[in-house]
Amino acid sequence: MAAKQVIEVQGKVIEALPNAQFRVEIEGGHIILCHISGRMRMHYIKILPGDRVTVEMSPYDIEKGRITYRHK
Amino acid sequence: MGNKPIIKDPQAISFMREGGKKLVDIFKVIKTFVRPGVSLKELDQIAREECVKHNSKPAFLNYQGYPAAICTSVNEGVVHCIPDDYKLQEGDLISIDFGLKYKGYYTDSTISLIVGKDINNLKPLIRSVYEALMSGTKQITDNVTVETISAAIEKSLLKDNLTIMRQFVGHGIGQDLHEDPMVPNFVSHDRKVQLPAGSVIAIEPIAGPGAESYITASDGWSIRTADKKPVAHLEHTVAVTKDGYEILTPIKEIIDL
Repeated sequence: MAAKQVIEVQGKVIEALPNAQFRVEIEGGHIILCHISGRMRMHYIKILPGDRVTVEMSPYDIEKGRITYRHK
Repeated sequence: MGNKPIIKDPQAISFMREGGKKLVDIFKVIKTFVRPGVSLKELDQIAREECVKHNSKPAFLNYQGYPAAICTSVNEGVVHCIPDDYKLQEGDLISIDFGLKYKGYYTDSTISLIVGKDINNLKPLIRSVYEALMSGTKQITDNVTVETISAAIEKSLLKDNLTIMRQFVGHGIGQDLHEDPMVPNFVSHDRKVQLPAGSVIAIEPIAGPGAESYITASDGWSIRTADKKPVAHLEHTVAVTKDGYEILTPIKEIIDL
C-alpha cells in the first residue's frame, strides 16, 4: 500500500465561495483555496466561515487544499 | 537527516521471507480469477479466504479504516481503490495491491495484470513500470541512499515518457506496514537516508501516460486520474543485504511480461 506524501495543517475558514469551495487561512497566515472532501460532502457536513478545519495539502501545489475535518 | 530505517535481525528477515512466499502464493491464486466477468469484491473475498488458509492476516483490512484486504485499481484507478461490484472487462488493466501480516511482520506487494486479451495495448505500460521497479531495486546494496533508488526509478519512468504519480511513495516495512524512510519514485524526501544491511523497504513505482492530477472518491480512499488515462502500479518488498538485495515478494513470474 503506497504511503501518501501529504501535509496536514490546521486552518480557519475565512469565506465560503460557490461550488463548495472555501478560502481558508492556514497556520503561517497563508490563505489558500480549499474544497470539501467527498466524504464530508456525503455526510452533509456544513462548513461555515469561522469554522476551524483540518486541511490536507499536496507538497506540489501549496495554493490549494482539501478540507478533511471540521472541529467542534 | 532523521527518518532512519529499522534494522531487522536474521530471524525477522526469515519471518518476512516466509510471509513474502505466502503473499506470492496468494497472488497466484487471485490471478486465476482475474478474467472478464469477475467482480472486484470477489477478488477481495478470495484474498481473505487465502489469508486464513495461510494462517496470516490481510494487512490492509481496517488499516486506518480501509475496508478491504486488497486494493483493486482498474485502468484510471491509481491506488487504494476499494473493491466494489465492478465486473472486469476484456482489456482492463488491474493493479492489485496486497499486504500480509505473518508472525508479527508485514510484507507488501502489487501486481498489474491485463484482463483477457490486451485490446487496449496496455502491456507496454506495465513493462515500463516493471523496468523502473527493477532499475531502482538493482541499486540496492549495503548503505545505499534512498536518493540513489529514487533517481534510478525516476530516470527509468521519464525515459518512457511516463508521468510519475509523485504523491504516492514507497516506504520502510517491518512490524508496521509503513515505516521510515519514505522511498519516493523521484528524488525528494529522505534522499540522504542510508539503508544499512537489514533494512527492508517496499519499492512501488506508480505511473501512466496522462497528467498527474487525480480525484479522491467520496469513499475517502479510491484515487483515480482526472483525465481517465490509465496508471500501472507495481511493488515488491525487498531486504538490503551486505552485498546487494533480496526480493522477499518476487512478482516477476506472476505479471507475465
